[in-house]
Amino acid sequence: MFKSVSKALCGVFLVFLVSGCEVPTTDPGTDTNSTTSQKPVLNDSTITTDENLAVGTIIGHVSVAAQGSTAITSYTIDDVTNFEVLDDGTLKNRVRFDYESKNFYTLNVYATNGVGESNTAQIRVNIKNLPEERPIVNDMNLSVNENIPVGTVLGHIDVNSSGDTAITSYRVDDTVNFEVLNDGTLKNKVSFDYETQQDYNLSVYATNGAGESSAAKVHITINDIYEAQVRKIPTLVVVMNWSDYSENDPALWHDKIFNAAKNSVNRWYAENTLNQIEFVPVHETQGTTDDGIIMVNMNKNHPGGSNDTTFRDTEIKNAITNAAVVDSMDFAALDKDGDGALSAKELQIIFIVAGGEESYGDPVDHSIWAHSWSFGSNSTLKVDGVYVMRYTGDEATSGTYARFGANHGTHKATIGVMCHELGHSAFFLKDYYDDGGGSGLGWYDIMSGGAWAYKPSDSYAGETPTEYTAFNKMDAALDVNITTLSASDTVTLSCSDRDFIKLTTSKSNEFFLLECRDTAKSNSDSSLSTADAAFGNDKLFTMMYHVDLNKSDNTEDGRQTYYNHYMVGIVEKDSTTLMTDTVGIDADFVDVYTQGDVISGTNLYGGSSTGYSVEIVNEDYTKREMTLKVTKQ
Amino acid sequence: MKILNTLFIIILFNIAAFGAPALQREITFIQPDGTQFVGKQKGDASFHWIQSGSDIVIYNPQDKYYYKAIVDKEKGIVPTTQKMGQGSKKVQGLNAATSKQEQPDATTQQTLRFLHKKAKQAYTPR
Repeated sequence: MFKSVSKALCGVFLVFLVSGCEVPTTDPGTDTNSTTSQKPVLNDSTITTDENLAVGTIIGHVSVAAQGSTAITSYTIDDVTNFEVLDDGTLKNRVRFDYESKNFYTLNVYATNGVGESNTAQIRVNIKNLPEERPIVNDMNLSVNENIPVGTVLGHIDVNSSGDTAITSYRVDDTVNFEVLNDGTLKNKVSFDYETQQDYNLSVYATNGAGESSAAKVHITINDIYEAQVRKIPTLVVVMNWSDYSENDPALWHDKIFNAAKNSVNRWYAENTLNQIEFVPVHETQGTTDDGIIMVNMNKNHPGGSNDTTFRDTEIKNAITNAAVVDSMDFAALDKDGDGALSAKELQIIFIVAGGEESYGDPVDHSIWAHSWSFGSNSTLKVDGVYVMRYTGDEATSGTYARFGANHGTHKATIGVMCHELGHSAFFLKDYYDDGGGSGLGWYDIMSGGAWAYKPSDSYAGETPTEYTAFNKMDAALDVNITTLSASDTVTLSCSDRDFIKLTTSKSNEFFLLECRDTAKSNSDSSLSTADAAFGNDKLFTMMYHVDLNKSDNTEDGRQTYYNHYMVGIVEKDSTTLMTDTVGIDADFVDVYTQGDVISGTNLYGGSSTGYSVEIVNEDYTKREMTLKVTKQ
Repeated sequence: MKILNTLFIIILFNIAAFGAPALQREITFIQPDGTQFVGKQKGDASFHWIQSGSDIVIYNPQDKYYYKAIVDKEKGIVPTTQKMGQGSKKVQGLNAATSKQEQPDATTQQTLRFLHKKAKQAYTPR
C-alpha cells in the first residue's frame, strides 16, 4: 500500500508548476533524460540496523539518485506497518526489530516531486544481531583454611550460562579481601584468620557483550587450622677443625641446620612436628653475628673416633671451653631457670666434627660416629659459670650435646643423622633400629633406618629422612591428638598429621598405636618410594605399632617373642619381611594397610587376645584422611 | 663424745650415648692402592664392622687398608692378612643382585650378635 498523502501534495504543486508533475503510470525511471520536467530517481539500497532499537529511531535515508526538476515533496513506502518515511526521506522503525524473529525486511519506495513519482526502488533493511543474554552466575559456598598465602586460588566462579556471547570479565564487590581474574579465578588478597573472621559473604558478577549478570552470592567459610605453639630451642653449632681436616664455610652449616627455606634440620622439624619445633641460633659474635656457628681450631690432627669417651672428655671439652667459643657468647645468659646449669631446652650444642662419619662407613682414623650424649652427673665442666652438657638423671634439667661427622665420604653430611641425633639430644627419644639382626622400625622412622632415607631424586643417603612415627611424636611431647579407645568405635584420622588412635589393653604398659601417613603430604615420607616404588608419591596408608613400655629399645635381632620383642614394633600386614629381616629391607608396601584391609595382629606378646580388630573402611584422597573401624570383641 | 659417722652415698648418673644407625646401603670402599670393594656398614657406634658379601671386613688405621677378618667369641673381630680387593682394580663384594644371597655363615652372624650385645652393654655405664 502506497502512501496517499503524496498525491494530494502533487496536486498543489500542479497549480504552480504547470509542467513536470506527472503521476507516474509507468516506470518513472524512464524519464531521467528529460531536462525540463524530470521526476525523481531513486536507488535501490541496503540499510543495516541494530535489533532492539526503540520505535521511532532513524535507521537510514532513502537513497536519491536525482531529485528531478523540482524538489521532492514526499516519499511513499509499501510497508507502513514496520517503517515510517518522512518527507525528507528519513526512514524510521515503527516496531522493535528482533533478529531472532526476522533478520531482514524488504520495502519498496518511491519519491514524488512536482513532475511526478519516481521509479520504485527497493530498500533492504538487514537486522543486526546484538548480544541480549547476560551471563547467569550461580551462588557458591566455599570452604578454605585460615593462614593460606595471599594469592591462593580459592575457587572459580560458577557460571550457569555465559549468555549469548563470551564472558569478558568478572567482578567481585569485596575488592579489599578478594580479587577475581578474567577467567573467573577467585583469589584472596589477605591471609585469613579464623580467630578474627569466620566467614565472608561477597557478590560476584560476570560480564559479556550483553552486560553484567545479576549478583551471585559467594559464602566463604574459613576453617580453623591448628596453629602450633612453637618451641624455640637456642642452639649453638661448634665446628671443630683439625690441622689435617677442616671446614671453612660457616654459611654452609648455618643453612644445613637453621635455614628452613633449604633442605635443613629446621625444615625437617617444621614439617614433622607441624611447626612445633624450631632450632634458633644463639646470640654469638664470631664471624657472622648470630648465625649460631662458631668455628674452633683444635690445633691438632683428627684424633679418630675409636674411643668415644676420650673424645668427649678431651675434644668436646676442649672445644666448648675454647676461647673462640667462650669469648663469642654468654652461656650464663641462657640459664633461664637460674639453676646454674644449662638443660637441653635452654641450649642445644651441636659439634660438627671436620672429617668423616663412621656410620656412613668412613675410616675411623679421621671420622667419628655420630651420637648424642652428655657428661656424667659428676661433671665439673662449666662455661661462664654454668654447667654445660651435664646429665642430672632428670631429662627436664639435663644438658646434652650432639656430634656429627662433617662429611659422608666425598660429600657434605646430609641432614638425616643430624635430625636423628637431635631427636635424642633435644627430646630424649630412643633408637628404634635393631642393629643386631632385624630392621627395627626400618625406614618408617627417622629414629631408625629412616635417618638414611632419600627420595629417588636425591643424590645422597639421608637427604630426605622419613617422619617420626606416632610413638615418637608422642614421646617428644608434641601437641598431638590421641583418640584413646578401649571399645569399638570408628575414627577418621588426618594423615601425616597430629591424629593417632591408641588401643589400650589389659596391660598398662602394652598398647597399640595407629596412624595414617601420606606420601604426597609429607616430603619426608616421599622417600619411602625409594625402598619400594609401590609407595609412590600420592599414597595414603595406615600403620599400627605394638608398644611395650617395659622394654627399653628395639635391639632384639628381629625377634618378637614373649621375652624378646621390640619396645615399638610394626604390626606388619606381611610379617615375613621387615622386622625380622637381617639384610636391611628398608620399607615394603606389603607391610602397611590400605582401604579394605583388616588388622588382626592384636594379641599381647604373652599370646592372649585383646579382642581388637581394625578395618580400614575408607581412604579420602581429597581430605587426605583415612577412616578406621575399631571392633572390640 | 659421741662421734657420728655419716655414710654419704653418692649416686652418679650417666646416660647412654645414642649413636646413629649405620647406613644400610652398599658403599664403595677404596684401598690406598686404588683397589675397591663394595660393602655395608653394620652394627652401631658401640660395635661395628663392614660386611662385603659373606666377608667380614675391618679397617686398619695403621696402614689404612681394609682387611678380611674372622670373628671370634673371645677375641672379637680379628683381621687376617688378606686385604680386600687385592689384585684387582675391579669392584669386589656386594651388588644389588647378590646382596640378599651372600651373607656370613650362621655361626659368624650369631657370634657377631653376641659380641655386639656385649659391646653395647659395656659402651656406656648407666
